[in-house]
Amino acid sequence: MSNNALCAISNTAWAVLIGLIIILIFVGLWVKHRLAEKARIAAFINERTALKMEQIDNNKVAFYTEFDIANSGKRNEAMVLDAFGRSEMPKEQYDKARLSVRLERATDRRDDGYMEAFAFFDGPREKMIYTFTVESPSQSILQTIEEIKDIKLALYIHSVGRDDGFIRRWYFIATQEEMKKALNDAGVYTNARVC
Amino acid sequence: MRAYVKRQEQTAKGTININLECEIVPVKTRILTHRDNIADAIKEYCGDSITDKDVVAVAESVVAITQGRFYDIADIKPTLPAKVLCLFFPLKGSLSTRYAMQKLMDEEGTFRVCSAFIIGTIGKLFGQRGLFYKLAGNQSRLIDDFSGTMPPYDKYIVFGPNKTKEVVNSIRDKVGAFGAVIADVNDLKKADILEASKGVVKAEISQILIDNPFGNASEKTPITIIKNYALYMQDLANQRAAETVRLENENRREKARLADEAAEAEKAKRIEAYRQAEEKKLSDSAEK
Repeated sequence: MSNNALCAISNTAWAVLIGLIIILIFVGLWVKHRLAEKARIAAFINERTALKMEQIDNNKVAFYTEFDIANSGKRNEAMVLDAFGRSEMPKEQYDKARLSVRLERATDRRDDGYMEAFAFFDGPREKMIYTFTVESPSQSILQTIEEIKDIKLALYIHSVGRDDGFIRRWYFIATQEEMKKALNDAGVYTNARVC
Repeated sequence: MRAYVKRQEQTAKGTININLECEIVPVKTRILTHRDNIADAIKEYCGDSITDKDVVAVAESVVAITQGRFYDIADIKPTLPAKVLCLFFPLKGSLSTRYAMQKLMDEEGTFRVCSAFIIGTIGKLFGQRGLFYKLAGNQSRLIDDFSGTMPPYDKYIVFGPNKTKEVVNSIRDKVGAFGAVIADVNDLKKADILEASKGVVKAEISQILIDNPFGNASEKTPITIIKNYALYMQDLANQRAAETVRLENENRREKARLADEAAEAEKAKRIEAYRQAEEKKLSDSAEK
């Protein structure tokens, strides 16, 4: 073979090699992208503490419960941009009471209803305090507790990690019995009567 | 609050010790928003407490917020390059989410950021760290990811400020200060001065602010007044001059001491030579 032919083969081989390297780099990046660990927020709502009474007056009572949240993704950081609770009891279900919900971090309690964004790695759990207030302007709060049925409460967490931001939702039920027990434990309510 | 500046400086004549202090006044404000003008806000909160010898330092994130340079997650659509590149940045860094990376690409250009990443990676293989941040533009160093700024901007990606020269000049002119600076200070003893008005020495301000008088986010002290900066600089010049004189005197004394020692050594050498010559003479005469 002539020198020119050898040179042409050599050039082709180099071009193929460089092309292969570039393809390998892109494949590597794609694989890293696909295999990247994702942040997953888990709320251990089933392990929540029993309801406790926070405060009470004639027309209003506040209960709270505590539970943990964690980042169950591996080797990843999750940033909680926002977290909040909502009551799922519409007036069509019971119109003599109004419910409001407040969610706080146990380590950063605040009274303005604002949830400051925070980051956490996989492993340590974050304790949350979920407070809901039942208000009944037209009648005694104890009467309301007697009449009210179970209350469905929701928890929403908006978080972001390496992947797209997402919102997750969890539910739990505050039963009438549990509310009565919390009042009972606080010593303000026994057998449907005010102490 | 007082800032203590203690350091050693190398000069042609030797090492001089600088030991100075100055008063710094952190100013508490409400949360400043994009509806505020930073110069007006400083005027509002500092009033007449600023003199023409003072320097006003303002936190860079607050300047950026007053310029509206913050972005909501809902308004950012990450592209594939952003999704891939963010995976190579440390989790605790500000570019570890695809949203922050996308905003950086929007601001500095996708090609520039990708090129900086490739060159930075190659540089790292050869032991050259930090190339990416040098090549990918200022915002790569200044960007704050979610939860990096005080509420309510903790839910946004916040850039560094722009038109910084105009900002420091407007602050200086508005409040009648000696000068103004924009600073990026943290609790890790790192104080970067992004911009300084004419006559203000960035390195000195950096030393004065090293203990982070801005505090953490919840302290709401985005403005710090460095009192009597002009006098501080005068003191610094005086101290440098005094230290230089001290060094010169020390050097002169040292030279004199060395000269004395050399003369003593020479004298001893001469005496020894004389003694040896005398001994030789005596031994010669004894032989005779």
